[in-house]
Amino acid sequence: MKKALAIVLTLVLVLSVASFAAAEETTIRVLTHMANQINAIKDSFEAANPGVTVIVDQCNYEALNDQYEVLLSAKSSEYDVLVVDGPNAAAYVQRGYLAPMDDYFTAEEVAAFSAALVNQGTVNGSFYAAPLGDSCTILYYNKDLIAESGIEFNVDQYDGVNTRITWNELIDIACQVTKALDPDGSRGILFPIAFGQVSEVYMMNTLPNSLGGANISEDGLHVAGVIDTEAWYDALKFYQDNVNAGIFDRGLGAFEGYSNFYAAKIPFIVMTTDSYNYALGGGMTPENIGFTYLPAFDGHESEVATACGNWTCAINAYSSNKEAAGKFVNWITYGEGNDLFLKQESMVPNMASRFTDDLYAVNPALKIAAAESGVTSVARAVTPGFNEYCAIMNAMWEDVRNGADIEDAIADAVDQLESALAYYAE
Amino acid sequence: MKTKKILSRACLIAVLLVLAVIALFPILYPLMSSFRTDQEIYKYSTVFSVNTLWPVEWTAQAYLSLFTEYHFARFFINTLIVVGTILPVSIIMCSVAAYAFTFYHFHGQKVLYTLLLLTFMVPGEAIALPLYQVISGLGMVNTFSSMILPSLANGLTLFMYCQTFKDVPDALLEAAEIDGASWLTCYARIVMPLCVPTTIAMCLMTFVNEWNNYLWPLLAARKDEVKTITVAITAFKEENVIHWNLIYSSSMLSAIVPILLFLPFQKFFVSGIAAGSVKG
Repeated sequence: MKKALAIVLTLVLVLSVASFAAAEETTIRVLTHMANQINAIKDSFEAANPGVTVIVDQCNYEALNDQYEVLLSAKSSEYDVLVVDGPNAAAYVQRGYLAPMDDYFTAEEVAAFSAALVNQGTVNGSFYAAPLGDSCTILYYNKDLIAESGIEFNVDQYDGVNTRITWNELIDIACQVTKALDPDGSRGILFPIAFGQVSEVYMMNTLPNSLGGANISEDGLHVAGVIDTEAWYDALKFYQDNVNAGIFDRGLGAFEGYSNFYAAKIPFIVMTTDSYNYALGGGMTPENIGFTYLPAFDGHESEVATACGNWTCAINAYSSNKEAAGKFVNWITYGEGNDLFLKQESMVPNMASRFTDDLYAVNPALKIAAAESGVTSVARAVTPGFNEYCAIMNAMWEDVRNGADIEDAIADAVDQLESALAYYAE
Repeated sequence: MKTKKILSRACLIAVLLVLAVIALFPILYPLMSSFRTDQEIYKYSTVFSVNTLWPVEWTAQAYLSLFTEYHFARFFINTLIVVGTILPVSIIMCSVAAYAFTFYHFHGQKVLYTLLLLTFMVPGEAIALPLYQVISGLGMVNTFSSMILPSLANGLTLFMYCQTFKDVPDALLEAAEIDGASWLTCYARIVMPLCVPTTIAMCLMTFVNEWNNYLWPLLAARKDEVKTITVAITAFKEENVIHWNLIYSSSMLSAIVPILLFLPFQKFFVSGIAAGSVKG
């Protein structure tokens, strides 16, 4: 009898411990295009949060938005944490894809992020998308190529705030450099100047923005009267003229210019600050990567606009592990996880206090981001129809690049966007 | 006269050689580039020269990285599991169904047959979203089943078998039935052996389609444990950098299996397709 009782008690004890342990175990899944970077730091979160396991799945960044549309329109709870491009957050909230994170961030924590990033992730007063980092567009150049060309290019004279190179000056120097390096084209220098994210609103809209043009109406629902303005016509004409002249890149797709710059095929390129570390990985050295502030248009020096915004972390509205997901999002965006993440990805920090000498040692280009952040940075169009905005505007930039009539291209874009955004106005 | 003949033959060979090089360029360039570093690919990509095609410094680093750093063997095996399961099951299912449609008569046969034919006329992309919702509702996302089940019933395979079966003389089956053969014996021992070219053609077609399938595995299987090659390759195009040598080397490895299968069986493929293409 005693033996039987002992067995029963032991069984009850084992089952209780097992069920307790099972109840404590939580697995959260993250979908991102930066799985390597997050996998490299997630152990630290798991160590600080016993019982929570983080699994990170990789998805190609170009397919990420489509994946979310498929997953979340099917109300899938497969992923708890979603890495979302900042400007898409508002649209996802409107479709009911994201859960508010007010319970996982205090008001002080949210206020610590850069104001533009908080604004981007806040919808109807609730915080939905916490920034992993920020971004900044700057002008890179290959120091070795410039030195070899014998053309003088001194960036020390520019402080960014009061002085910076102008587009006309840059075009003049870049053409001289290219002519000196490759007079007969036998060396294969592709173009004097390239835009890394060519035909993408993120980078290209900085041209009209730098002439005083806005991206969208304040309510985020109209482009008529916004992109069919003098600033836009002038910016597009400037761009098209320089493409036609063979000065700006043609034929390369978005991001294809990056690797060509790393391979010394392009002397000057506009890229983001985090490209610095990719350039090192692509074979460049700190000694031959040069960078300076984004150029200004003559007579519009005070209106310079740089691109900003970056990827954010959000919680799937259909997740059944919101508590653990919230902890993770807080850790990787506000907490110590973000310090670790920035070392992996070298994004522009999401708050002023994270601009440190340690970070500059990893990526000195961030000094320019620190100077531009909040001064020249212009957020991408804040609209629930951001996907449609991107698709139509990207196509417009590409059409203009390929020789389309500028007035027709803008008129088409206005027609299409007004029609697409009318859905959200309703 | 003889000189003229030799000359015209030489011209013909030269033209064919040029055409062959043009046709092979899309294979040659990735193959050669898979044995060089990314830096070298970019360095010699513009101003076309011998080095645009021929590596200056040969390296198998990209292939090594695929297996040591990126666990490509796992994706390769995953793809083999998916295709290796779909292939026999799909062939058996479709040929049995075709046997029923061809040799039996039942109510609603024509309607049912038309419905099945419609399945290969609707592009997969058009039904991807509702299909995902079904698979998600069944809790099968990120499993091998999610990639295998939707591909089992194939309208085209069924159609091809029906067309081929129509060629089998009724007398042959009647004689077998008189001798006491069951439908299964007739199907397996009499009809299917007569349709070897169609079976090989459908096996090849199914294999290549499933091996190259991208959209559905992208939606249904994101976990590394079940990810297939086509989806894994896209990871080499990152936001700030494109690893062309990894893309080329993984594409070459991915192409090897279908090529090895296709070359020895290509004559059957042609005769198999032809066998099912002229029936009313």
